[in-house]
Amino acid sequence: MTGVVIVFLYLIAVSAAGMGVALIVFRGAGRVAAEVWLPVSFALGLGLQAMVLLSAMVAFGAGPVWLAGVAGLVALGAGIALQIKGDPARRVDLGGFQMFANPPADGNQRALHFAAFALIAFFVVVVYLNALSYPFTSYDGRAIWSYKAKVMLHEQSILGEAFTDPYRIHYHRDYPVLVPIAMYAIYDLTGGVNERLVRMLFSTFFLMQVLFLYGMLRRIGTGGALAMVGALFYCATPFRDDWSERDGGALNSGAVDIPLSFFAMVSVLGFLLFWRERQRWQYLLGGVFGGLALMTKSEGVVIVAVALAGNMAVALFGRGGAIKRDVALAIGGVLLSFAVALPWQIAKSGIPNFYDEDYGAQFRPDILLGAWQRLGVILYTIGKEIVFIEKWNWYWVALIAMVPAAIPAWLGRREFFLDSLLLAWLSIYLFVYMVSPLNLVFHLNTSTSRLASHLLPLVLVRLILFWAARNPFDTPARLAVLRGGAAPC
Amino acid sequence: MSAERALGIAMRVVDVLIAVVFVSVVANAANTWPVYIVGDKLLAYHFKALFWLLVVRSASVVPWRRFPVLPPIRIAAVVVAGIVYLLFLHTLILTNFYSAVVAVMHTRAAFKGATDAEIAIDITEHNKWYPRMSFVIKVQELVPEDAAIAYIGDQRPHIMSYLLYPRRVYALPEMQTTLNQSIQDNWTWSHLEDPFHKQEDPQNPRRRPTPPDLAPGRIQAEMRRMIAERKIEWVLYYDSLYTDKSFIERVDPATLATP
Repeated sequence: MTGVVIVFLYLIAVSAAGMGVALIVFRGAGRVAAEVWLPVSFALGLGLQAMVLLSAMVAFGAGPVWLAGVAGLVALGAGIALQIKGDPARRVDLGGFQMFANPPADGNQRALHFAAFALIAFFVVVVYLNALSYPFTSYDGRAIWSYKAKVMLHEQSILGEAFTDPYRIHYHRDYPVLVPIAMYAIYDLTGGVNERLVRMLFSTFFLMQVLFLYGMLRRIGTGGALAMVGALFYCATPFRDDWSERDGGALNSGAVDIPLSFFAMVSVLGFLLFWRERQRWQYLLGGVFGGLALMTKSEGVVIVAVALAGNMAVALFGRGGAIKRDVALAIGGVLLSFAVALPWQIAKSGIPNFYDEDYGAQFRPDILLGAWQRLGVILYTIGKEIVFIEKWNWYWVALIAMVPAAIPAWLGRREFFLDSLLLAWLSIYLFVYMVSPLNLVFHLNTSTSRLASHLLPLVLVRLILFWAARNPFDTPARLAVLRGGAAPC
Repeated sequence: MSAERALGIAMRVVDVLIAVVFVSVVANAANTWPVYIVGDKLLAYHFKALFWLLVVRSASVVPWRRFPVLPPIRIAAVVVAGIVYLLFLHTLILTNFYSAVVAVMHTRAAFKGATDAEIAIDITEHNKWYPRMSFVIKVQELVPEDAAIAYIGDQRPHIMSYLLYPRRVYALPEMQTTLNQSIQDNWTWSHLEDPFHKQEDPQNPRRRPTPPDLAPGRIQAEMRRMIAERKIEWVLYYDSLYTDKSFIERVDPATLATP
């Protein structure tokens, strides 16, 4: 029980440190709901921790956990100082939980809102219980992520022989380490490797993702109980059990796709809001969280690439006016992501890659010409995955059903950013399979679930937006705004 | 007794059965552990019963009498809605709530005194994907933490490497061909032995990289240099299919390097 308390205290401390950074990021945003600032603070705290410890490992050869604590205190101090001494007009107003402060006024909507909340609370408790009940024993969980954390616990570095000696048995030694660094901190604070307690980290990612999804659905204009119901849809997706409970599951990736999915969601929704409202903090969220995705998994590159694709689509074809400025903003967002991930890029340069996942080398004419032969198998496997109702509920099927109605909206530049981005994202994943240097059947069987999980929150956002514009329970005035597509995205 | 009254009584019976099954689920969650060995089947029966009882109970609220006067399009819509509802209920009951109860039971087991080590053994002893924990514990007891171990064996060396850390575990292929492929070619031995990776891509065989063709003399020199540099004094042989053949032994680095 002491361990549980220590982990919760650690997670609170990380969020407090991240809040210091969040106070800088949100500067000028006015009032920010707790459903937004809390998840963002949590993620920024973990990102700060990873950046500081990686920098220390590169510069001094060791990154002790206490150093991250000091950096967190400094960040919190800087954030508070800026709040007190800075321009009062740009001060951040940290609001409470809107789900309690501003529930729907209508009686039926209110009942639905709180019923959905009760179910979400139930499922979140289940996720935490799963974490405490079942150790982190999935293959990738141990071989890739926990091994790195274990090495850091003993050596306080990723530049030792365990990472750099080609003969040492170390699976995917050059995979990003934001999550292993958080695991390392938990192992350090709880007195050793604990495969049970460490899973609370992933449960917290899940909680934060649900909170942020709710906060964003409220913000992008889904009134009444719809935001809470949307969050419930994500929360009750059966795939949740694949990573939160089952031994062979964890989306075959040691649960690290959940942090990645969270960072990707915040990055994309940050940019989506930016193209609608043009506020600085939204742009920063888009760029910074892309960087956190880069520091979490290799697929982070795809997320940054699709964010760039979506941004460029809006900048070039979104009828926004100043094309040059918007293109510069689109490229700047990607550069910001790479700047955030710079400590990892530097540290990684000392680690050899001994695994044939070199997708860059696949861009050869002979391979590209032969890749079309794979299309049938790929589409069949992906199709089989997404119609698996007992895993993904109806969400993917609903997305496909929505396509005929979404095409006119896309051509009319409504939800242009999100639709372009989802299209780019699916195309890239399809292309990755077409040129994959791995055995295709093996690659498909072990990765389609996790790729689907990356996209799922945004698929839900798209479905909710689609429904919101046709919601028979909403007011005519709001529906007119939602249907009008006033903003180019 | 009218048909409606009989139906009403039947539905009350179904309500009582739902309550009984629900209480039984809770009672099992409170008293059975470890669920992943003895309780799974029992729980599965409970949840299946709950699912069908809820289906019957839901069916009782459908206004069946109005169906004949509905236009076909509405009947089709109701049928589709019914199928969606059944699948949703199935997902909700058999996945979400099943998971919830299992989580409660597992957590309870953990807090009742089952240590992580016991549960880890329990999981790994029953899972062919992992090395047997009892064997790993023997190795952990025998080999000092600062020692270097050469791993020779079949699948899953990465888990062995993780479990034995801080002992340094190295991939030491015992055959020339294996060594050929494991060095400088981005392949560890596990990949060669893993049945997944053994398969050629039927659609495009060019996907497999070709191993470099190293001369035998160079291979032996490479191996000797590696053993000497890393002071490897232990060899671990692990066979997941015939675990009784697995062993750990202390060796002289000079003999280890001999062809």
